Amino acid sequence: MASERMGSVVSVSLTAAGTADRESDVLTWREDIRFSGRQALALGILAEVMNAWLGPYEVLSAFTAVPFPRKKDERCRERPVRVPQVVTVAGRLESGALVTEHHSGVVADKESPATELTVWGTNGTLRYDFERRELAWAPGGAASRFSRSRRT
Amino acid sequence: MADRKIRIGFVGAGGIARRRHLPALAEMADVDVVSVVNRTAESSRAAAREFDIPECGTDWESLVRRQDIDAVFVGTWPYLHRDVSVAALQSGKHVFCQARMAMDLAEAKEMARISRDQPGSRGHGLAASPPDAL
Repeated sequence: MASERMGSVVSVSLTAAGTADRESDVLTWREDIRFSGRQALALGILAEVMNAWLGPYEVLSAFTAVPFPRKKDERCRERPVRVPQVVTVAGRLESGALVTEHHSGVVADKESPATELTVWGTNGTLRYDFERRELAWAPGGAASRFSRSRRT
Repeated sequence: MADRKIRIGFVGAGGIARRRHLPALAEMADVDVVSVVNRTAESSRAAAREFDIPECGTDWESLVRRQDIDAVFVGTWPYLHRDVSVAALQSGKHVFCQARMAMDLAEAKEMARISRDQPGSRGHGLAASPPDAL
């Protein structure tokens, strides 16, 4: 991106979907504000990455949901879950690029969880898989394919 | 390589510490993880055994005050990130603090300020992950 090989960034999609909040009916430390504080999923962690790679948001809106609103604490008492389990974000960066983000901790299946960032530029597309630490690049053109490289 | 190995104390060797940080530190020739502190003695012993760490315990306050340790990794749940990080910084240690950095923005700002303001700092600083993705 810094070399401008991919041209201008037109739009960005971030998916961070996992099963962590579905794996137990007991509050995890991530869902318990006494231990985790004011956090929502990995939103802040990935915001640092987004900010470093793409620059700050100019404007955004977000929606949150708690589809599993009650869980048990360590003493088996039922407690309300106050931490969002699903967050969607839509916005525009200062660069002008449009962004959508989907964060979830309540994916039901084991196949679809992923943490992946796709950056569409005027000259090609970059995709980064945070789990595999794999960067893929596809230049524009009719015969283009993704070429992949692993970060160590 | 440095003249001597960098000596690290680990506070809170839980999930990501065992999956990522401790295996990565074990690969580094100029680093020794010399002590690990978890909430329970049993958990501390298990981490020490798994990663061949010579010392373990449950008293993080003593660990961060040790003069023979250069840096402290903080891998606890967030409710302890500020307390451990600040105590380590004020004892002259470098600090790596696992995400999430703090319980809220006010705590994070306090940690950053204390890191910057260390008197006579020789670069003692606070790093908060995720550096691998940056």
